[in-house]
Amino acid sequence: MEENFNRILLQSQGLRDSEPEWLKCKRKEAIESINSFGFPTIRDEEWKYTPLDEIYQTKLEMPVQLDNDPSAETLESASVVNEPNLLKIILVNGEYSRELSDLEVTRSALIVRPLGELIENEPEAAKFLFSSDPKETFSWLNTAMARDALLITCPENRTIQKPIHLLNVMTGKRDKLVSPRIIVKANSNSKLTLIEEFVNLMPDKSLMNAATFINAGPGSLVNHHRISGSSSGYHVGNLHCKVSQGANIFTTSLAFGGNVTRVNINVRLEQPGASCDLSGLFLGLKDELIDHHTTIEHAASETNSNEVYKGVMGGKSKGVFNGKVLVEENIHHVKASQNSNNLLLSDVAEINTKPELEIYSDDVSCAHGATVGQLDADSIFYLRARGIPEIVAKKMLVEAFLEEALSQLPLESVKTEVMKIISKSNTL
Amino acid sequence: MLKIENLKVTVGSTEILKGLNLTVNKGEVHAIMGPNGSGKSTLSHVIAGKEGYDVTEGDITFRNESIVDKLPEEIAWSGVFLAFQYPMEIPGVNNVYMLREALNSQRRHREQKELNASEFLKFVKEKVKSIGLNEKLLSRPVNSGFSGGEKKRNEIFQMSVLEPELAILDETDSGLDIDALKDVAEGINKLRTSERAFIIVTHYQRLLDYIVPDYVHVLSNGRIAKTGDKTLALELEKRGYDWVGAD
Repeated sequence: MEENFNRILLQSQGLRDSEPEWLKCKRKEAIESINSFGFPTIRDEEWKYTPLDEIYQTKLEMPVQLDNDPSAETLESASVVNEPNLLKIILVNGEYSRELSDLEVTRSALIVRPLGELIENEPEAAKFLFSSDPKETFSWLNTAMARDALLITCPENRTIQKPIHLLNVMTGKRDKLVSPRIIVKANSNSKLTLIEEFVNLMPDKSLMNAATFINAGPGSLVNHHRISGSSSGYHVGNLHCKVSQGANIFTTSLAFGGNVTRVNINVRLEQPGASCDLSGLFLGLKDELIDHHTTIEHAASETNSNEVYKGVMGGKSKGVFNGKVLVEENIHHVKASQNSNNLLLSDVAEINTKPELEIYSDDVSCAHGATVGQLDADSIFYLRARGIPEIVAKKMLVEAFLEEALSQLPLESVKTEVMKIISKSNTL
Repeated sequence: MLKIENLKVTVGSTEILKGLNLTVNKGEVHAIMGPNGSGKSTLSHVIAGKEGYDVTEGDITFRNESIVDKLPEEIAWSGVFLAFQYPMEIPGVNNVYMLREALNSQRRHREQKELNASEFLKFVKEKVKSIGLNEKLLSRPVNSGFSGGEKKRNEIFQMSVLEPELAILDETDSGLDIDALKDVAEGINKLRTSERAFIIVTHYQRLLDYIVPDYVHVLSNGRIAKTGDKTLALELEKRGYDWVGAD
């Protein structure tokens, strides 16, 4: 089962000869960790609803150098983000493309540095790209395999007005393993909005194994939207956020389409006054499997977290939401609230939702709620009795549910695209 | 226009309607009264095509066509409107948007030209005025957070837009204070024409003070037990329903 991964890990080692020793060492450690921990299966509690056999059975290859970058038109049509005034940063098969990215990025206050450039000019900063390594197999896999890594720094006291659109595309040869790695540093009192989007341009079984790290410095404000919406392929995303004193992070995850999507989100509220807002929407109408595992760690007093996830699952799709909230020992004035509301559109679709609270302090207010419902039959009848055909009535009600889930999302173009998935569907 | 013959309806294993006969001609107003549990709501729901009711015998024809096996939307397109006892609150679905979809579905079915957003808005604004619905409610989600009176007025407003040939008002008076009741009745009276028929399902006589029926039927134990004119409603108000079955 894991031979396919072992093969590609071996392949990758030969390509790393020119890398500095510290990086070779990091990769070697990651591979050793993978070898000793192995790849997750449904026997692991964290993965019990998400079998990865399909991925393990796919003979994944390293991405090869492309003759041509995808055209700007191709990228535009593949993306669901179509907002005015974006700063575009494009990664093709995990590698930063200076040619496709907006020139304006280099003129803004933002500092964007790919791995190669940092190794050459700022070796210490380069190490920072690989300094954090969550203890989890796909994170190690990313460490071992990432061909590039991108450091995005927002200098202190600066506000980046335009949202940064970080578009990750997979393209070229079939069945690749692509490992984008992004590190975002929002320095003290800075503000930025980051839209991270992942698309697969090929109708194939490639695996996008993404790792994103966000460090929200003291007093900073980070808005982060994560969108995975390919028609096919596998997606594993690891997002790790550290939130410092008085900093806020808002992070949204939108997931639809694809074969298997697993998103791990970990937010650590490290210092007093840190807060986070997590929201998510996952939508499956065919046979998608979409799994979100979130962990919010309250590691300091006076920290707040708020989390709202919504799922809509139809056809033979399967949705998973596991929301863990951890409140560490000897801290006080902690507030946490979590909600998971889900809509099932067919008899065979599935939703597994689970709150997981681990609380080791007393002065804590935690609330959680989870619902799984179907479209209200009386509401459907009401609309039909007005002359609205059944399928249209159902779509209206699903759209209403989505509308509520998307009401906080400031990206109109993305809302429109998500709504289109429903209006185009014939299978509600 | 509407003909119900020997209608027997069961829900689960319970027979609710046990051989009901009713004929409604165009322009007529029929009141259907009866105690709780006599089958009044079942009758309205079955005519409108709601699922979950088994018609085991008899037939309902509307304009000479059986509607027993038709879908709720098909029945609506043929010109039947049901005003609900408890209008559904549908958060997230805009009132005007819903109603335009409803009207255009009907128009599509009748091979008429659909109204675009601005044509519809103009059409609707005239209707709003004549019904006395607060125009602000138009852009709100369907019935969401509406008062009891606003919900019922919204039903009547929807009726005025869809212009049915047969309107069934299911306990439209329930939950209304006397002022709201008068308003709603006034709205309904404005929609009375020589072509449009009404079935007013009600437990109490008071709505009939404002909407004068041509016929009053008493539904008891799944059948029409007695039929009379408007004076029958007054008698029921005085004597209750018990005497009807014994008659």
